[in-house]
Amino acid sequence: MVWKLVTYTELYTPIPPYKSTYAIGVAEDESGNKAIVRIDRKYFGRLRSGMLGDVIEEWTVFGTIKRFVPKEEVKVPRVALITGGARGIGSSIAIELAKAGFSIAIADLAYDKEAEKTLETVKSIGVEAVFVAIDVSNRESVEKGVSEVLSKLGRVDVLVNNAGITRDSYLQRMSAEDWEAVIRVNLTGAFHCSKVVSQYMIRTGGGVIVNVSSIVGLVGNVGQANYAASKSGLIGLTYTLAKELAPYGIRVVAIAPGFVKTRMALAVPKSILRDYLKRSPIPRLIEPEEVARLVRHIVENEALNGVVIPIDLGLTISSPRA
Amino acid sequence: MRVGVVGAYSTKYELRSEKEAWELLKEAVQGTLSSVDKGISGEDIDFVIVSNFSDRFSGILHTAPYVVSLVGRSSAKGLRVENACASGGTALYVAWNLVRSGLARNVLVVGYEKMSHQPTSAEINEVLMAAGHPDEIVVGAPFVSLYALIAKAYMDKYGVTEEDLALVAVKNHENGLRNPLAAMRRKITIEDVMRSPYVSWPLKLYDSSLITDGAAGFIISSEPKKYTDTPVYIEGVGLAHDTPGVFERPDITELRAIRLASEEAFRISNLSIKDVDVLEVHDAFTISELIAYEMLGLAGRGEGAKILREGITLFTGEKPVNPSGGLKSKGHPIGATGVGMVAELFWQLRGEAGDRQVKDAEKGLMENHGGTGGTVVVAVFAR
Repeated sequence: MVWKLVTYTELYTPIPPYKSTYAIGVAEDESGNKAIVRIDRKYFGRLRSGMLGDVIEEWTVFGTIKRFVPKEEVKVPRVALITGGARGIGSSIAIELAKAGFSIAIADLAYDKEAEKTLETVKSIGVEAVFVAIDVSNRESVEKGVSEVLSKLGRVDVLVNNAGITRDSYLQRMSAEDWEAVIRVNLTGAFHCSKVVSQYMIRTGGGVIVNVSSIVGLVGNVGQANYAASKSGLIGLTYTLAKELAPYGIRVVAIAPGFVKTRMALAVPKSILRDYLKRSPIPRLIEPEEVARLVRHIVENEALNGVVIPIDLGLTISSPRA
Repeated sequence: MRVGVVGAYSTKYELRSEKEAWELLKEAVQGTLSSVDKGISGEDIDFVIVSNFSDRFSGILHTAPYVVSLVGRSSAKGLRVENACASGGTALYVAWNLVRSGLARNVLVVGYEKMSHQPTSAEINEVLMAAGHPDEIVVGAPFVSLYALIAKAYMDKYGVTEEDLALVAVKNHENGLRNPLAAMRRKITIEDVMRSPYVSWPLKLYDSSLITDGAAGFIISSEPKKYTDTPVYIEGVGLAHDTPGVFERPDITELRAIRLASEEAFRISNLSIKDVDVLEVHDAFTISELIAYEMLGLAGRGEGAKILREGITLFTGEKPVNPSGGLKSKGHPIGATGVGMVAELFWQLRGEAGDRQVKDAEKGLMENHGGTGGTVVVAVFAR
């Protein structure tokens, strides 16, 4: 029996008891029987009146509902936006998600040699890729950059809040400017990006936000009060957004890498780095590609939400907290 | 027998009232009793009808004896009516028939709803959803979505745009500016409506009526001249039903029961839409006001937005609709809504509507509907 979608609406306000977004439609079969149907939110933006599909009965704890499944499977490329994507962990994540078939938007402060290299590598994988200049600490810049991504790639399915800076010093020497600069980029930047991107994700049926925190956000680190506070803040942001955005089909997960072989980690004084590695059960630096593979897993595994996943070679369990 | 309205009252509608439900109810009862020009004794009230949608909002039930005790006549009888958002209109229908049949001489009708106790609009939508068809409830379709289904089908069929719908919101907010009882007295533009977030596409926040606290009341009498020299006569009331399920209707773009109820009201009153000078219609969502124009005969099918653009239903137009601001700006405290429409027309036809007075209004019409038009009450009044 073929059913035709007579009219439909996309519900963006999650209503109890379902607490979920979905589309609702009226479908009619060839004999003129009509039914009110639910349609998965993954079809947001792709429905049209007159569309043909199947109507299947589905048991839910609230009662048996009729679900409309369109016959036409419209392929829409999925898009990932990675802040701080030009270099380091961000670059590896961009490449890994490109391998997973995502179109890629690399966001960073400026289009430099490293950005160009990452962009070329991503393109060589065979996916669409763009660079957008975004200063995540500036709300207007984020709004403008995200609009650019939407106009060029159409949507954002994955946001990786990876942009981060360090301004290390001991508390007594740390200036208020250095404190604020780190918080502004690492934490407020993730807030701006999550806020702007999530409103589009809601309209397209959901997505994933991955916040790149740090083990420093879990256990602290001498000389990094600002950085540790920002990375701890990202964990609180993750827990909260995971609760707030779940009804819209948006998962939020944080990762907490240990020392990754990037320019940022290598800038840490060697004595401190050696001291840390000595405490690690596996005393080596983590490869950026290993972090990227974890991000890909988070994106693909729909059961992950509202958690912080350390990727640290066991450093967290070995670190003294005081 | 000409049954007339002899007094009416409304609390100010508020987005979040400090008053509890029973305080709103008490204010409406006392305000209505004292609104009668020549005075009315509690001893004269034979019957009270309480209009209220859900105790899940207010937390109180069994309000008729409370109202009877406020009236002060222990032998008065009472009941509560519930027909979703048409509870107030239904209360009018019952009261009018009680008086017409001789079962009561004077009936006090009060309506109330205290909605702001719910933590968020999502919980409010859950309570409201209970008034849908069982299949719509199970599938999880709140009213905004059911009206969105109607709006989408209507837009497909008649080429009407979201901007056309926005015109209704803009008009009613403009009207609400003149009403001191309105909950949201704020001028809005088409751009404001278009910028407001989608709740259930294609309907936006500003296409939706307000979640409101409030109460209203009126008294109808078989001997109106005994209580006032200027009663407002109830010339006809029609009540009609449609299938509660939007999906079951032969034409999803119609709110058929509005047409049926208005035909009944016009037949009883020997009047037509041409005779009506002022209207209060149920703009729960912008789309419902446009369709109401068509079902009432103000506009042809698909031409609701056209007559609004032509200015016919503006405050200064030939047929002003919702001079009170409607559900969109005045507010929609469900049980009070239809009762408040009666109060508004009582004031309009007596020339007591202040800044929002429609010039030379002699005859008025109210259209109050429940659910997605599963129950509709249309009443015609004359001074």
